[in-house]
Amino acid sequence: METNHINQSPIDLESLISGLKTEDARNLKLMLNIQSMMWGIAAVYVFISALKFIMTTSWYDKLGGFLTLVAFVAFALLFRSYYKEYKTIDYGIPTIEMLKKAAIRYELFQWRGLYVLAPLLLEGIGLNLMMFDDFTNLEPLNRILFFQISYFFVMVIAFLVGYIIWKKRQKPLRDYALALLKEFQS
Amino acid sequence: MKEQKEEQFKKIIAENGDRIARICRYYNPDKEDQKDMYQEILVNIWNSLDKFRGESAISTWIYRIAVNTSLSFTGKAFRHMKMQINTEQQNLTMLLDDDDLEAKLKQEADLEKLQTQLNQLSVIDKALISLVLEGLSMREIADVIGLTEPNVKVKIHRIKEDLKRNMSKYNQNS
Repeated sequence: METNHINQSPIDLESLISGLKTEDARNLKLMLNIQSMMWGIAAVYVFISALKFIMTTSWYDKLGGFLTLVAFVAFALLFRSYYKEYKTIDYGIPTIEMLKKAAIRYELFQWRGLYVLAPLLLEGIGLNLMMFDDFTNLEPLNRILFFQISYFFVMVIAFLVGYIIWKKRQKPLRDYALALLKEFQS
Repeated sequence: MKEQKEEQFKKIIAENGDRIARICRYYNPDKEDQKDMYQEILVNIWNSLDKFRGESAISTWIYRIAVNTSLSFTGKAFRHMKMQINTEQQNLTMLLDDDDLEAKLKQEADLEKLQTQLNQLSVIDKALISLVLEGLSMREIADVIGLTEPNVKVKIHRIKEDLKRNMSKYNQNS
């Protein structure tokens, strides 16, 4: 009975299941690989930081390395949580709920986006401290300003690239979800 | 675990395959598009299966996935989706419960007129009507969409009234 129904399916169900299982396995492997890579790099970085910490006499280097490491781990954890959320969109929830979630997911400014500011700030301070001794031709205040202005400029460029991608790919989806919500609730 | 998921998936498709195929037909007149949408619904069922906790009836869950997929069906111009109905559709009378119109609906020409009217509905109204055509109660439609039951009743009543009015106008003019 079951086989008959499956055979009547407009698509080859066995091939589809096989493809889905392959895709699941691929996603799982990809996620594990990314995580392994992240934690592997973190381990190497801890090792190098530890060596530097012992060998260097500069407290700027020591503190800078530590802050950069904390920023790196925070980034890794944040990206992991984002990846999990984007990967698991549940279509089995009521339509209104799905649309609301989509509208929030594709919002440009989100409260949880503020979490990214903490590791960005730590990284900025950490890298600045680590490079502090590299620009000895500049006054200490100018060294900080030079680095922070460059860092800010790079962040602005990164934000603009992100904004363009959002506007092209995610904004239309958000607008569509909001339009449907409005129509449902009118 | 994987085998268990596969078995559960096959069982769901065996029991609900016809239902899914009908939903696909409502939205796409083209066979290939129906097939694509059918496949996309199946992919979404597979991906959402781990999260199904049995809090709603399996049929409600399937309809949710079907409607949600149809609303976000990739590669299609949503607003241009055409609602496809055919003479085998037993629940058409649910849309137009007027005796005269019901009789006329048996004629192919009137069916085409109704189809024209249905195709002019918004994508939201099409989603609601597709669930009415499936014979779902107002309570079940409310569960699928996530609106309150009175809200669903009002919306469907409004759509039916519009359809009836438009059909009457159409008949008067022709």
